[in-house]
Amino acid sequence: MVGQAREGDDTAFEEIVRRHSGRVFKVISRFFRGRSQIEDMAQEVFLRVYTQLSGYEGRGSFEGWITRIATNTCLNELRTQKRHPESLISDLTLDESLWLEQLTSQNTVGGSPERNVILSDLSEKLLSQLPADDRLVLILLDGEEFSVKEVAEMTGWSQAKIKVRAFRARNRMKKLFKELLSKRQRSGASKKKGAARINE
Amino acid sequence: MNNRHITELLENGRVDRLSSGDQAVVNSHIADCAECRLAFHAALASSVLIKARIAERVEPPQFFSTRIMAAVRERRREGETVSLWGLWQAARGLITGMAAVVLILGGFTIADIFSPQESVNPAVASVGSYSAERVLFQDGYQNVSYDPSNGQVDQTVLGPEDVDAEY
Repeated sequence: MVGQAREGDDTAFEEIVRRHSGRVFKVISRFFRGRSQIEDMAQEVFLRVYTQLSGYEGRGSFEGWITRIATNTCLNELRTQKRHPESLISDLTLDESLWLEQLTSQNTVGGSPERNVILSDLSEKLLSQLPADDRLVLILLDGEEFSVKEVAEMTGWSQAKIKVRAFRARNRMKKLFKELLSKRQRSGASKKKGAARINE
Repeated sequence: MNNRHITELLENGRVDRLSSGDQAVVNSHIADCAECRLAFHAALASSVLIKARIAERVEPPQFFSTRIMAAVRERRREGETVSLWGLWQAARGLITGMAAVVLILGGFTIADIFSPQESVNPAVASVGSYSAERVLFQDGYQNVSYDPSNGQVDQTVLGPEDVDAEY
């Protein structure tokens, strides 16, 4: 089918799109949230697949090749997005605050679909503070639980680079989390003081 | 559990799935160690948050492949336009050069048509064909026939005295 598509058979290429669009959407939704943005990115990925089809040498799986194109397209898009390191999470929602409290008091967290939505928002706030490469590595290693070798195949980077990126990203997350906790504690303390004054 | 073990756990990024034994040891350690407590909570939060983030999945819409094929055809059309433009860009220098040469040659031709013609000696112009002997005899000896004998040739070339001396 790849050979037919390469020779200009539109039906064959359409079948490729049909078969692999689920995979491409899965890859893109690791990094982006809005449906319209994900669809636009997926279109960009398949256009790249179309134009680069002649460069596919048949080494490795075709799905792996498409995944690599999708990952690199996402990375390029992430790199164009501006980070705002100076504006770290100013306001935590009540749900986010409660979750943090549970995490720090019980050293564990339970999961539920409703909670996932809340956590996904908080996750986006934290991840958007990281450089694109670090964010990508962290999501693939800690989120999808790929091995360093697998991430190296997906991105085309060396394993050493991935380890360095992961180390840096985890440290950055630790720092962000520390800031988050201290803000929450300050905000909690001021609320307690306010409540005490009212009681007096 | 010592600090090194905690660090290894955190670096593995699997802190959200500790065995009950490991969890108990971690709890007892971080109760006294503020630095490890912070690191552990950060790693746990990071892991849980990222997993929650990637749990959000968006499925492709029903007619996604149709949209892609339309985009492919559009890209192809753009590519054709671009390739024609590219061809023009590549050949532009050559075509311009050729046009310049044609113009220059045309200019020379027109200039030649309108330039005054050179006057030609009527005697020379009347001669149909040239030969060294004809030119020689026409210039020096107008009355000599066009088919001279050997003696006439010798007289013309060597002079009458020399011819006599020769014979």
